[in-house]
Amino acid sequence: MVTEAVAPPGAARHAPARTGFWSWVATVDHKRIGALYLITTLFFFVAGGLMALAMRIQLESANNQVISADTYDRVFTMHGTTMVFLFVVPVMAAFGNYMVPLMIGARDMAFPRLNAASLWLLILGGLVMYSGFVWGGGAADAGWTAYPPLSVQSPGHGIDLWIVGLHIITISSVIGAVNFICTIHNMRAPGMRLTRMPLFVWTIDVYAFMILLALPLLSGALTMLLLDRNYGTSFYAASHYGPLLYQHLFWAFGHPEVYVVALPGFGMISEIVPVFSRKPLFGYRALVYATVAIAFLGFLVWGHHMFAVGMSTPLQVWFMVASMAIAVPTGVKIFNWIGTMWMGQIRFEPPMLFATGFILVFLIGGLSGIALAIFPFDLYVTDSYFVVAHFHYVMGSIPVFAVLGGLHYWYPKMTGRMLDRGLAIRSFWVLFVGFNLTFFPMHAMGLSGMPRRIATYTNTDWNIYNQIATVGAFTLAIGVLMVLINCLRSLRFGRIAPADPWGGYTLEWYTTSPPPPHNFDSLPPIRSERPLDDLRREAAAAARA
Amino acid sequence: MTVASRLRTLVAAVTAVVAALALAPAALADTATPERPVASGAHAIDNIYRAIIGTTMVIFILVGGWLIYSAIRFRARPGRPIDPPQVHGSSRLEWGWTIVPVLILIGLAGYTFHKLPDVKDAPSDAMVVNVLAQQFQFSYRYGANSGAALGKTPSTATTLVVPEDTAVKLEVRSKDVDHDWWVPALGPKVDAIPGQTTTTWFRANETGTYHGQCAEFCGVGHSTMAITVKVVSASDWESYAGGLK
Repeated sequence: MVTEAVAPPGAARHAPARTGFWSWVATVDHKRIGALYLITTLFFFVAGGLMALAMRIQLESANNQVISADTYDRVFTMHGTTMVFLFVVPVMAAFGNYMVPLMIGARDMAFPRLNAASLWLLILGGLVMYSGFVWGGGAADAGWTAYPPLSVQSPGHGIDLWIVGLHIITISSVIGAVNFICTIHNMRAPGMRLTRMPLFVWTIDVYAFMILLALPLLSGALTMLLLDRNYGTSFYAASHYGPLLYQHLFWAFGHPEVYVVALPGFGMISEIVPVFSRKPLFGYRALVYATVAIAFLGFLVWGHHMFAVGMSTPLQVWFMVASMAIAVPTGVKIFNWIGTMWMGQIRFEPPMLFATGFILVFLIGGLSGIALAIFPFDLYVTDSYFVVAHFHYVMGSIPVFAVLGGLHYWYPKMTGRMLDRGLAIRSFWVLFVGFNLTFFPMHAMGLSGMPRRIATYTNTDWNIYNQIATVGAFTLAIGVLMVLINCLRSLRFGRIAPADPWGGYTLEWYTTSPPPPHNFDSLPPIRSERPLDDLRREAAAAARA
Repeated sequence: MTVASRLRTLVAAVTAVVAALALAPAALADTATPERPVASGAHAIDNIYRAIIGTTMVIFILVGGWLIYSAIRFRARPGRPIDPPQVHGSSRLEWGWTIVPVLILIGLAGYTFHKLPDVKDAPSDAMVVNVLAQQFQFSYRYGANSGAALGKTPSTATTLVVPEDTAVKLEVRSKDVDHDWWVPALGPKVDAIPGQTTTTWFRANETGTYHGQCAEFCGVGHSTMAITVKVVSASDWESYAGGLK
């Protein structure tokens, strides 16, 4: 039987690592840094989620006055910023930190202390940004996009703290990216060729390169904004197309950022689906090419965020065609995942449920993405709730289904405990229902004319959609709570996890759960992208002989 | 697979397809479409939308159906082989599902280009209206080809009155921050950006009063920045324009 765990040579438990508060604060172990990253980002996920609930309460029906327009503006600004910069991007670094060295058979990241620095800078940047709520006359209030002139004119120092916070987070991301690239390209175990790397490692590599290329655009744009706000410069002055310049810079960063988030999520799905289908990835190379193609095209399509700014038709046509082209490699990914499941022996353990849910939900987001690329239609729905629906079906399905799928998949490895299977399955269904209830009606809101970022509305036709979305948001929150409770409870009460609970294919399952500080006592030979499967087949063949 | 379980799968699949087909038109009726279009550009957008939603729904049903079918059909069950065939891919299939989406997208793009002039190209003899956006209202002044109304502002400052069956070209400017002029029934929206003049146009084919609001976040009063457009008959327009001061 090929699902049997391959007993790692070092399966005997190692002496426990040092414990205590300072051993965590001063740690340079990639696994502890990964765990702290995960805790940090989940904390910000909850904060961003609570802000989303505040918005859903306010928008539950027409003419609500639960929170003021001023507060609403700060809440939606900080919700978006938190989710993008403090949750979905760094949560990939959390799993990347923990898993990449294990998956490539390395002892640690290339620069362990730099790694610790990126964690603490992330926390510092988040605190600086959030300090706007306390000091500076309120947090940032110009949207996560912070378009000037509005963001230049906004009084107080909320936006200044927001910019400085983002600069610190950017430094964190950039040094993290350098670390991932150096680790992946220099520290792979013997035999681990690029073409044998787990897909998740591939996507983290591409994620890191995209961060290096895209984030400097944001830093430049925000630095000019900071100078315009405080030192009388006029980078974004209306007299020389400044407002448009900012939009171009922001989205030239902002659209690649979408794939920075999406690609590692795809990577997680590409790990989970084969293991639980008991088959190799269908078209490993095609999935790698698709990853690189999406990243490349991702830099060429930013203008589709700006179809309504008075862009010339040839430019609109270009951005439309380039954006539609992204659907092709994305489609390849979806088809190859289903191709992996086809004829498989699929075990619907919680990670696989999340992965399947992800593919279905992401399909909806991909299709509405094609609709938004078609610019005459986009001129109707841009800046409406249709866009909000779309980007939550893509940017929101990544954390809710891919990342939580990854969490359920790797939790036993990280903690040495199994999650409660029944609770995990129930939480998946609650999340699946809640997610679709929240975001699907937003398509209808947008189609019937509801703009995004409005603090209230008078059109009672929109009530029913908003009420469904509000109920959905609370359902979603309950689902997240169930996952968090499961994670906390299982830390103490979970069944002890074996080294390889799922019959995994990649090297992280070849060491104890959790792994010792030095990760591996020895490594198996690596002759394919599934070294552990090769080992099992050899063992089975030897047993037959 | 036993005959009974094969039958069960078939019944479930047929039920799902029938239910989807039965529910689709009802769902499409109102909630799943843009606001009822009353202008040329809005009609074009509505047509493009219907092409998109038709295509994407078929794709969703096929691909989603394939996913769900695979999940059910190939779930682990006792009595099935433990070690499924270790297939690493199929170039033919993978090229297939690369090329077919390309063809579908080319089709959608072609149809869009066919409908494009109605959305983008304002006729040269269109009646011009200058729109000025500021926190938190839109105001209007009639420009070229507006007959007696030339150079005048609407009698109610925030209500734009225009004649039916006449091309109206909006030249949009902003006094302070970014805004966006959008009346869903009239079709496309257009940003108002300080330092620039942006344009859009519509030819309303039905009299009535149509509402919209600012669609680009512009500050604390964003949600109160309403738009009203009143489309009147040609004769009502003559008397309205003549009466403007």
